Amino acid sequence: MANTEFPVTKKSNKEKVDVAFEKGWRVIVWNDPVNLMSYVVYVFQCILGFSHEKARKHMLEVHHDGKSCVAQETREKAEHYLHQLLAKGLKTTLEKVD
Amino acid sequence: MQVNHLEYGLEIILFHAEASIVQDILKRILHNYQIPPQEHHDSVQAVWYPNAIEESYDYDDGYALKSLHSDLQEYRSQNADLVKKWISCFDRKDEPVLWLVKEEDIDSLLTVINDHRLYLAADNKLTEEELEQHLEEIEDPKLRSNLIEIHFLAWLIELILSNR
Repeated sequence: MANTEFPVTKKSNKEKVDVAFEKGWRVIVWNDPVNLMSYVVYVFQCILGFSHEKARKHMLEVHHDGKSCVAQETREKAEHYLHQLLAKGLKTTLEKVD
Repeated sequence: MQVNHLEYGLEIILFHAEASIVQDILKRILHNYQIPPQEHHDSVQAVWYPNAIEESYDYDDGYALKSLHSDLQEYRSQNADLVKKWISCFDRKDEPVLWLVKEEDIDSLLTVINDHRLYLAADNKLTEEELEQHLEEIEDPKLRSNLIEIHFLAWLIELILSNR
């Protein structure tokens, strides 16, 4: 029996792999009136591994601009950050990069 | 209240009424952690088990949202076990009360305290203005007492973070 190719499936799998490894998701942290500035800096350092300086820069961006993009990652990693930041009480969403 | 960072973790020294205030707060945190997510008031669900991420994220099959809520519930349930343990530290009536928190539990302690601040603010639907208002200007005793608690816990968080 001759080998039968299934181009549609192959393409679809390739697309799935591309999407999985594409850093196409932004993690956005939003301002809220309750979380303390020092606590937000602490969470950014713990969860995202930021230096104190970088964590403070993003915290101030959240405070002054209402939000900050703290990471641009693959969907899996972005979801991981989303779960962890929400567990720490930070208002966080994901945004697909256009 | 005094916080010292020692080799094994934190030593929180609570004087006079502080110990009973903290014990009472921990008991209410434990109670709130044991309530199923859907039984919380909508405003509390919005901060503890948010759905708003749907607006900007593809949750068509609902699976990702379920998985998120289940993770958040599991995380709070693990913290509830720690809270139970901490409450028992207050059984002895020493003066002052020494509350010892292991190094590996400090992160959970900060999360638990912050969770309760978020809970109180959401439950009372507090606005930014109300959070910054002088306490003597607030007439409603329940609101006033909740705001005192929010500020008291903010002080504890600041003490812990400044002693890291």
